[in-house]
Amino acid sequence: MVSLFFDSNLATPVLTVNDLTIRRGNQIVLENVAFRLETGMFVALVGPSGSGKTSLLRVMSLLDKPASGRLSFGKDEVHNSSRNALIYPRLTYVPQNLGLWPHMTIKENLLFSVPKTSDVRLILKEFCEELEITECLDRRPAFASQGQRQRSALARALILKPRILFLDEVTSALDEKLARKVWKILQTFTGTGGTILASTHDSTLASQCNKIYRIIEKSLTLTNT
Amino acid sequence: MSVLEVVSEYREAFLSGLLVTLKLCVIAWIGGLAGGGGLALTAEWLPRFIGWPTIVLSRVTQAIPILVLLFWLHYPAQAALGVIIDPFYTTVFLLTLLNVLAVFGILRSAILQVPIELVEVAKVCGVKRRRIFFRIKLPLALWSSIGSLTSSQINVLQLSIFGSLISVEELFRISQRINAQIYQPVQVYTGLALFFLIICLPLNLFAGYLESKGVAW
Repeated sequence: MVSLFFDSNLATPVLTVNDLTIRRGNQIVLENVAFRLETGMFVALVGPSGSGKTSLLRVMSLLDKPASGRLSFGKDEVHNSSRNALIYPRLTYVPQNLGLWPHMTIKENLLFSVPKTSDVRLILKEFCEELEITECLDRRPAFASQGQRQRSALARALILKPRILFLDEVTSALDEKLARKVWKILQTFTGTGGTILASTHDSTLASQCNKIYRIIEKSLTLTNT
Repeated sequence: MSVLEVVSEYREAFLSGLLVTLKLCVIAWIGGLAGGGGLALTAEWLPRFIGWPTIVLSRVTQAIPILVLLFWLHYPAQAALGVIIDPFYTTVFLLTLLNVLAVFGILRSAILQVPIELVEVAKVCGVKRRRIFFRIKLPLALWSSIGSLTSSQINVLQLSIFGSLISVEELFRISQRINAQIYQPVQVYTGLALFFLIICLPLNLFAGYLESKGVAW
C-alpha cells in the first residue's frame, strides 16, 4: 500500500479527493470538493480569509476528519486513522502558525525528525544556505524574525524529503524577492517528483503554479492550468 | 530578650524541631514529586484509569480542610483499623498524599495545555508518540509548571506545622513549648516567621526567575 502511494513512476494520482465535505462545528466550510493531485504538480490554493483553506489542508494532512467524502493516496483510500501515521513524513504539512518547537533552537528544530544516520552537515548546508537561515540556526524561534521562522519551518519539512507537501501561507511574511526565491525552491522540489498544494494570498506566486484552485462560496473551483 | 537571644538560648530545641520539620518535608517532597510525576506520565497513556480516579480523589481531599483530614487519620481511622501509628508517620502520609495529588494536577494540566499544533507538527514530521511526549510535551510542560510546582512544595513546608496538633515535635510545636516556658510570643513567633521567610522567599524568587527564563509561545 505504502509503496504504491510513494512510487512516483505510476500514472496513478498521488492524491484523489471525491465529494469531500468539511465542517467547523455545525457550519459547513466546504462541500462537494473533488480534485486530483498528480506527481510533480505544484498547485496553488487561493481564497479569502476564513474560506476554508486551512481546514482543507488539515483534512488533506489527515489531522482532521471530513464530515463526508473520500480521500485516497495512490490507490488506497484513507479510512483507518491508526494506519495514517505510517504516511508521515512522506506526506507532511507546514501550518500557518509554523509549529516551531519553542524550547529548541532552529537547528534542533530542523534536525529533530531527521534520522540519526543522515549526514547532518550536508543537510544543513543544502537547505540553510538556500533559504538564508544560517545566521539564526543557534537561536530559539522567539529570537528569530517571522520571515526566518517561516523559512525554518519550510526547511524542516523539506529536510524530510517528503513526496507530498501541504503548505499554509509559507511566504506571507517574506518580502517579494525572498518569496520568489522560496517559490523557486518549491518548484525545484516538484521537479524532482514531489507534489505540493500550497495556500497563498499572492496572485503572482499562484500564477507560477501548474494549477490554481479557488475557494468560492464553499466550493473548490479550478481557475487555471 | 531579643529574637536572636531566644533562638540562641533554645537553639538545641529549635534545631531538633527543625530536623523533624525537614524530615517531614523531604519525605513529602520526594514522595510527592516522584508519585505525582509518575502518575502524570502514566496518565498520558492510561487517561481513563489514572487520570479520572486521581482527579476525583484530588477533589475530595480539596473539599476537606487538612486539619480535619489529619485528625480523621489520627483518631477515627486508626480506631477503626485497630492500630496505633506514630503521629509523625500519619502526618508524613497525609502531606505526601496531598503533594502527590497537587503535583499530578499541576503536571497533568501543564501537559494538556501544550499547544496542540506543536504536537501535530511533530506527528506530520513522522515523530513517534513516545518521542513527542518526552522531547516536546514534557519539557514544555515542566517549564510552564515550574513556578506552580515550587509553590506547591513551599505549601508542603507550611502545612507541616499542622502536625503539631497531633503531637509531632516539629518546629511550630517546639516554638509553642518554648513560648509556654518563657512567655515571649513576639520574639518566639517572629523568629518562627523569619525562618519561614528565609526559606520560602528565595524559593519563590528562584521559581519566578526560572519561569522568566522559560519558553515563550
